This record gives sequence, C-alpha cells and structure tokens, in this order.
Amino acid sequence: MSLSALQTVNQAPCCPQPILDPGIGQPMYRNSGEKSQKQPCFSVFRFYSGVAWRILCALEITRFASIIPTVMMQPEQIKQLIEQGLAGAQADVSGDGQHFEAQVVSDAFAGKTMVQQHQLVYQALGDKMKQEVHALSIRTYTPEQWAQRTSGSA
Amino acid sequence: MTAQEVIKQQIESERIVLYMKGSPSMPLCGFSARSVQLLQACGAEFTTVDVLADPAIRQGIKDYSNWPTVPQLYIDGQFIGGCDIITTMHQSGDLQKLVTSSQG
Repeated sequence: MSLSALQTVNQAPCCPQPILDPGIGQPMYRNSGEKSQKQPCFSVFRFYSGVAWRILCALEITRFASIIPTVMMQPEQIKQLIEQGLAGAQADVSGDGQHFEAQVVSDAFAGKTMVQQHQLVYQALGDKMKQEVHALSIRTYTPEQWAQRTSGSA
Repeated sequence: MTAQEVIKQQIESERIVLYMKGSPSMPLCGFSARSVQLLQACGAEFTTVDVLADPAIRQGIKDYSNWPTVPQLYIDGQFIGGCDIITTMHQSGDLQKLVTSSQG
C-alpha cells in the first residue's frame, strides 16, 4: 500500500467506497475531470475484499486442521474426566462442544464450601478447562442433597 | 507491582469487586452480564475489573483464586465464586445477606 493510497483513505474516512470501481484490471482514478489531474486512487472495497478473502482462507485452513485431532470436547468425555478424577462421583453432562452443563453428585463434596466443591470438579478436568472448554456450568450435590432434590421434585 | 500484588490490592481496597469481561454497561460475556444483574438486584455497590483490558490480570486472577473462569466475585477480600455460585446464592438469599452485611 503506497502513501498516496493511505492519504486517499484519510481524506474520506466516513465513506467506505469513495469512488466507483471501473472494473477488474482497469486503473482506478479519482473523477476529477481533467485527465492531467487524474491520480491513481485506492479502492477501500478492493482492499477489504482482499483482506476478507485472506481471513476466509485462514479460517478454512484452521477448520480443516482442527478436524483431524477432533479438538471439540464431547459431553461424554467431560463426564468421564469428572468421574475418573473424583472417586465415586456421578456426573451428568450436556453441551455443544464448547459450552457445557454438569451436574455432579459425590461424597467428596460433604462438608466443603461451594467454591471448594467446584474446585474439585475443575481439578478433575485439569488442562481441558484451560483450552477446549470455553464455559462449564457446574452444580454439585452430596448424595444426601441429591436424594432430597429428586424426592422433592417427584 | 506484579499482577498478584495488583489483584490483592484491588480486592482488599474495595468491599465488593467483580472481575468480569467488559463493563457493567457493556458486558462482553453472558456469565459476566448475569453476575452484574444479580449484584444489582441485591442493591450492591460494587467495583468491576475488566479482565479483557489486561492479559496479566486475566491470567493472574485465575491463579489468585485457583479458579479457571471469569467472572469472579470477591466480597471483603474473600473469593465468593463464579456465576453458578452467585446464581445459587442469589436464589437462596445468601448473596443478599452477604451484600447487606458487607455494606451495612
């Protein structure tokens, strides 16, 4: 991008398409009347369509690259991680690959604050929590609380 | 000052601090938005810290509380919890009690 191109953009900051595109392969000129005063002009539209194309290409490449190791977490994987990390825990997990909801019932929660209970669940997930999982909503219950809850709603 | 020192100072100098994404008037995450709403519903006067404004704070707050997500609520220097806990405490009335006792 030349300096004159930048200046042209600066002159018309509120107008994304300062001039009409004369067509592919044609030089761009400001419509200033006299031929001698014509100067090459920068098409914001062309610039952005170029940028958009590059972004699209990059996205497409990363999308295909990410399919290979199947980076998306499944609710079932989260359930397994929680149940393995917390002995005797029972987890029920739903989610879309990035946002999850987990209900966890475990003896280990007895006598602990809610913060400590959730920390136990996060610990079980370890590094997964830092990368693959964008958001995890957690509800924790001791077996007694769970029994109360289910009998209450029956 | 390290990020941990900055966070410690923020938490100890204000009664109620919410670490969130964005600001109360323009939250940039649904969980942050919800936390702000619940605090406002309790009539809390609180300070917010936008973690998106500073990567060191964004990581630092997770290390500080050993808690991997944002938002995070602190009242009187104590880590209270994230959005789920704030929601549960709001439903049980505990959040209101905590806010009232902190401000009263």
